[in-house]
Amino acid sequence: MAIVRFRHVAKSLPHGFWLRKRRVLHDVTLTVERGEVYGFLGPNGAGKTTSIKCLLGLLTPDEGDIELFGVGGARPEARQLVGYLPEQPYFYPHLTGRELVDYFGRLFGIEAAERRKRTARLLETVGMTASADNPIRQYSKGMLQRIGLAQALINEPELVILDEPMSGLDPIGRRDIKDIIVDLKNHGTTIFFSSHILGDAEALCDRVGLLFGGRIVRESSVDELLEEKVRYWEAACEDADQAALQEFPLHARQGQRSYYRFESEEGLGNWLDAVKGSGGRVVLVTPHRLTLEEYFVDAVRASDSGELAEESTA
Amino acid sequence: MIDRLSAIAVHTFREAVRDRILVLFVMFAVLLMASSTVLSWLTVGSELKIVTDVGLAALAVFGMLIAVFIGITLVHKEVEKRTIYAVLAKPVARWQFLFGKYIGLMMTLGVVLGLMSVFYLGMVWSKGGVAPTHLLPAIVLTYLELSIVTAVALVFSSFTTPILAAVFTLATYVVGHLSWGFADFAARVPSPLTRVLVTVLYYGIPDLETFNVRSRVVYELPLAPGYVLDATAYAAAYTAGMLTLAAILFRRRDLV
Repeated sequence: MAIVRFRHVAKSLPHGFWLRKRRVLHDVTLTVERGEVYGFLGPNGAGKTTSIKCLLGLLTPDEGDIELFGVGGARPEARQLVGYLPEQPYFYPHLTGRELVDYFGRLFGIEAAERRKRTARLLETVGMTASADNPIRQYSKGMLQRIGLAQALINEPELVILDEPMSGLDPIGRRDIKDIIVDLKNHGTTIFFSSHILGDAEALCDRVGLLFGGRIVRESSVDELLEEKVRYWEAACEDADQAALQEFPLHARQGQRSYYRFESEEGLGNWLDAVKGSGGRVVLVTPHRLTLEEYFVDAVRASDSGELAEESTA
Repeated sequence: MIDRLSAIAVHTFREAVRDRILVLFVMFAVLLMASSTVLSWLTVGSELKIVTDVGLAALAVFGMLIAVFIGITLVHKEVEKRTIYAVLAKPVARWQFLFGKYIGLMMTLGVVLGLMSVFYLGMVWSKGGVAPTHLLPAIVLTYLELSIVTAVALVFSSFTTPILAAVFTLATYVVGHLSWGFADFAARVPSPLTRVLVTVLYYGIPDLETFNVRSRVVYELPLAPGYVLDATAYAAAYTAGMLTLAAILFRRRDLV
């Protein structure tokens, strides 16, 4: 069952001194199924945060429609089962971390005793128990992110929306947040998170949507995206007779070891036979697949040149 | 629903109390009331009257200043500091957010006005020797006036910047105290179109002078029976209208 559904959503926002409207979202169509981790990826300014705000009813789309649990996101009841961590979260500086989580629990209508219990448990989960009673104005960026995650989980949500959850975190913070996401996923929670850091998405996501210039340029499973093709094979051998391997493209040499790259499996096979025949040892064979990073750059370039072509014909 | 409203109201109250500006306002008002004693030395024979008069005026003016300056930032501060996103991403309707904020500010004003009044009444009591119960209606009416001013501030703050909202709200306050003149004017103006326009203005702008009974109570003149009750009904109706307007303006606003 689809939990989130965008259909041809477009949105313009006022921009600059004269508040002229500029189109931020052109055509966003995507679905997030129950129980999956969906990576909403795109460079800065692609429209990720705008899309999320439309989903939560903070912005009203100009065109298209959005469903959250089957109803419009602008309806408060649609948000009862949603947890949301805003981008670069900033919370009431006069509250303590514990008070903040408790306050947001009240907004969900959770009973006082239950709230206390959940708050304590969540503060523990995000590693904020020690600073829970300090005012938020004293928190560092990483602490804000952690307390933000705690407040997003106070209602035991079925859908967690995380806007750039890892941005500005140190490696330990990133690992902790990743662990929490994996844990949520294992408990069946649906996760929709935006990021411009592709490594995070590669490790966590079931499916990704690539947003570029306000358009979804690709939506697919991560495996599908990455296994499309092996870019090249890297292979290395030692003690081989160089004369016998002359016909193969030598990529690099390091001490006794010679590195080769092959575009096709056939080329690799021939090389393997040649190495064996010349009495050498194969020490390395690695398929190099497209990383999400490379895929992303490709997609962005393709989209760029497409736009240029469109402009030149127009 | 009540739960959410009260959560937002209590939170707004707590924020205002932890904000040190509020303490500054209260201290200033108390100082001004105390200084009226000094002022009263300059007059012969009417010392008590000066203290009573200046104190009541200080109460009204400082209450108004707090209502305007917290009222206009209620929504804007949340949008600017981006604290509103996390709140409205919860199952909270926008009108609940607005009304909760309004109730929270009225709670704050109640406490502030209460504190100032206790100090003020104590001072008048110690000078005059009798319990100044005749001043209570003036204080209650000041609070009702503040409920209208705060609602007006909320309307302006739900669609414009704090500076413009402050200007509009203060203008409404000043014109509101002179609006009885519109009724007079409408009766005398010959052009029917102008008459309609002025009449609309008269009913649209809150009649804040209704809530000013300071000179009457200072001279211990009686108020008409049911005066406070009528004024309460008027304040409630006007406030309800303003809050509805604020909710409509805020309902579809894009929170960029």
